[in-house]
Amino acid sequence: MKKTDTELISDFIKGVASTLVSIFTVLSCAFKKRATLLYPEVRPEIPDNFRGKIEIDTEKCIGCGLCTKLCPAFGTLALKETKIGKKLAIVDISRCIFCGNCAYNCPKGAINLTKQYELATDAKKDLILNTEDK
Amino acid sequence: MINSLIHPNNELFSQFPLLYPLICFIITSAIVIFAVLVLVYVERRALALFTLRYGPNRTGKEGILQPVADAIKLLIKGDLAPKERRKFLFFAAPIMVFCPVLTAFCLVPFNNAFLQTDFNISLVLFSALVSIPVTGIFLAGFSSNNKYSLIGAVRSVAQALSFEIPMGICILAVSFVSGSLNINEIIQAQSSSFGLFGWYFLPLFIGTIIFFISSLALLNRTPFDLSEAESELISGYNTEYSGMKFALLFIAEYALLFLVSMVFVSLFFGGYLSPFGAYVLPENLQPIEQTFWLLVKTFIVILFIILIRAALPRLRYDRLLEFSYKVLLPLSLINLNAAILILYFKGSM
Repeated sequence: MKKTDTELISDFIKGVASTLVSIFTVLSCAFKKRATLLYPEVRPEIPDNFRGKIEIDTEKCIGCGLCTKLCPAFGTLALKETKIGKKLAIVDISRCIFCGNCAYNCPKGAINLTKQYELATDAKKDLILNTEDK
Repeated sequence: MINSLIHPNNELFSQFPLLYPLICFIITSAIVIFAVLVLVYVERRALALFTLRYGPNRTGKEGILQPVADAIKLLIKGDLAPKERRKFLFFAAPIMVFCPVLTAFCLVPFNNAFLQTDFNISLVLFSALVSIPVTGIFLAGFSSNNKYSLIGAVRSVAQALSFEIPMGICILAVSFVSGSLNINEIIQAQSSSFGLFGWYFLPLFIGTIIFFISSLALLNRTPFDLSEAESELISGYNTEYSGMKFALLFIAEYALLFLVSMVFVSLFFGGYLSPFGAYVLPENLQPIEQTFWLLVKTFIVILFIILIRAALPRLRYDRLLEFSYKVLLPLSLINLNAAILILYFKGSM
């Protein structure tokens, strides 16, 4: 259907109006607060239930292996034998997906997800925690 | 031809008639290169300002050394080129894009006292010089032996051609109202005691908008940058360029932006004239004030161009050409009619 003249003119006016509205909207953004942070001088606020780096309390861990069985990213958690024969959980942070399943289900509450999120290192073996014998 | 070169009334300059143009050229080249560096930085910071970000603020104080870092990065990158390219055209295309832009800077008067050139047809010469980079861009895309570069180059040429028609008609309207094609005389024709209200953007309002939109299309800038859109064609005509050749194309784009903004300001916003009508500084220092006004106005226009880049989406290519032929061309003819009416009522016809 061919458009009538009035429809064409109203289309043109609507086009001009929407262009001007977008230009003014973006211009007003120049005076608003920035949406990005000047990292690393300014860090973002971490909420309370944030799931960051895993910490396993070796005193509380009984080596039951529940965390190893429930972890969705296979290979992240494992059990190791200490010198005195006790089993402890070790964790590989490079594989962890920070879901919190292990912390939720640990019977002794030994696993805790902290608020740490800056986990970059330059050696991959630094990312396997709790391997030292205590 | 040597007789028509201008020189101030000085014995040294009359003895060596080519000395004054040479000095003008050196100063202008320095201004252009400095302006390009400033523009690269200003564009990134202004774009970030309009999009709620910070922009580069780490290199140097507040990111001032960022263009230097960009330049160093481009220069130390290897000058790779595809094996099956057309060697001479590939080499010559960036030069062909940059040199006319540098030449055209002599046409814009920075102030009334020290003119670089005084051609009676400088507006036509400007129009011609701005068309040569278009052929350069086509050669750049064609000689790259890359079908996507060719598509980008062909789109660029078609877009430039179709937007030069309304631009030319707007130039015609301005020359009708002012009575000459000399940019300096056009600026002088806008001077009046009303200052701001004597400039040509008020009577030729439609012409101002059309010239502005056409110049955006000539510069391949958003919303008309489909030929070098990063998500559509990798990088369009300059995909295969790296190192110094890419730097030259990059510098040419920003220099052309600066040039076209200055000519736009000269034609419609009074060039170096003061918006108050009279000048603030005394007689001797007026050239400095004139240059200051020109640069302030050009800077505001460039900020507006960057705002448009931040605000508007890209036009689809067939709609872009439709826009030029079906909207801009009729409106520019209406603008021409307005100019003729102004001439009639001024009593010149």
